[in-house]
Amino acid sequence: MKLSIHSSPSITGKVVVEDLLKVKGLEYEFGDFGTLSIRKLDAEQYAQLNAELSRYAIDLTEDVPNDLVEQIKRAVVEMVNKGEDRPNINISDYLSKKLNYSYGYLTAVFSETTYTSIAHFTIMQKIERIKDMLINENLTLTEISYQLGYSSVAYLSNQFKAMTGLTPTKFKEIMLQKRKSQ
Amino acid sequence: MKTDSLHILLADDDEDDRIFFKDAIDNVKVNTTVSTVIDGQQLMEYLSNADMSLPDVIFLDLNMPRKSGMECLEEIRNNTKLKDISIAIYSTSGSEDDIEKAFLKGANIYIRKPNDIETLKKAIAQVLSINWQYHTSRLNRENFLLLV
Repeated sequence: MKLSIHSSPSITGKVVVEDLLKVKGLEYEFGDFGTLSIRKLDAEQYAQLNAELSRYAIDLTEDVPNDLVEQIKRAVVEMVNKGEDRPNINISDYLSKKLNYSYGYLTAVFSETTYTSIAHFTIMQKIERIKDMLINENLTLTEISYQLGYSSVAYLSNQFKAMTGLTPTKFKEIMLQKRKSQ
Repeated sequence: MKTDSLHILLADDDEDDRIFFKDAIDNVKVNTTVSTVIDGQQLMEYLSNADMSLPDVIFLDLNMPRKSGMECLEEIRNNTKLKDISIAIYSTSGSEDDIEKAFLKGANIYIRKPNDIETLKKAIAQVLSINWQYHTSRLNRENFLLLV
């Protein structure tokens, strides 16, 4: 008897992967569009999984876009926290050099999952850093604006107000009062 | 870290206002699920019900019958189980005293309620976008104050 095989690669793939994960006792969850998250998977287990799946022509790859967003966030935070040692280039050049993608691609990937732009995220990180410097390091606005590379205290204050609705001074006043009452 | 959607709980006794807010929230790009309660007492019952999943953000009207927004705020901030929830107070009052009082009692966000839907939409978009960053980017929530 001659038979023909009909199968759905997406279902077959899912069942095979799921069976293997169960055998290995890994905690997992399937997401949309053929994605999968596995809790606590080290590099060796990852390689082992792919080796065993290769005979079904199934290949697990890391979810790059998401990972790239994480890399961008880390790079931005790193850049903002460098203080006076920060390289003298703007964030777009810094990111595209560091991550080897065009800035246009990076912003597109970033905006899709974070609902904000890299530029806005960078400002937000700076504001968070300013808050920290204001209340935990007790620095003046002049010192902070110098350390974070703002052209003037007025510019820093305006940006702070635009992002939080409060002036840096008012913010500090409320936070210190809040601490006292706790 | 949850990155799928933002669970919003809306506490307001005025039905028109609830519709107004829901409309503004639906307009925002961030994925949201919205639950509503109609007064402060119902809000506290919701939060103490173990079967309900806790919201990420509560939009809290200051003027509500049975239990006011301020009373709810204090109760929520005195409960360690609820300390990670962002609280957005909204009120028609824009007085500096009210704003400061709300922040000192632990509100993260204070929305001066505008009269037109377009301004409200913009305010909600800003609130949710910033809240989303706190939600997904390991920012220090203690320093989270926003006035819109």
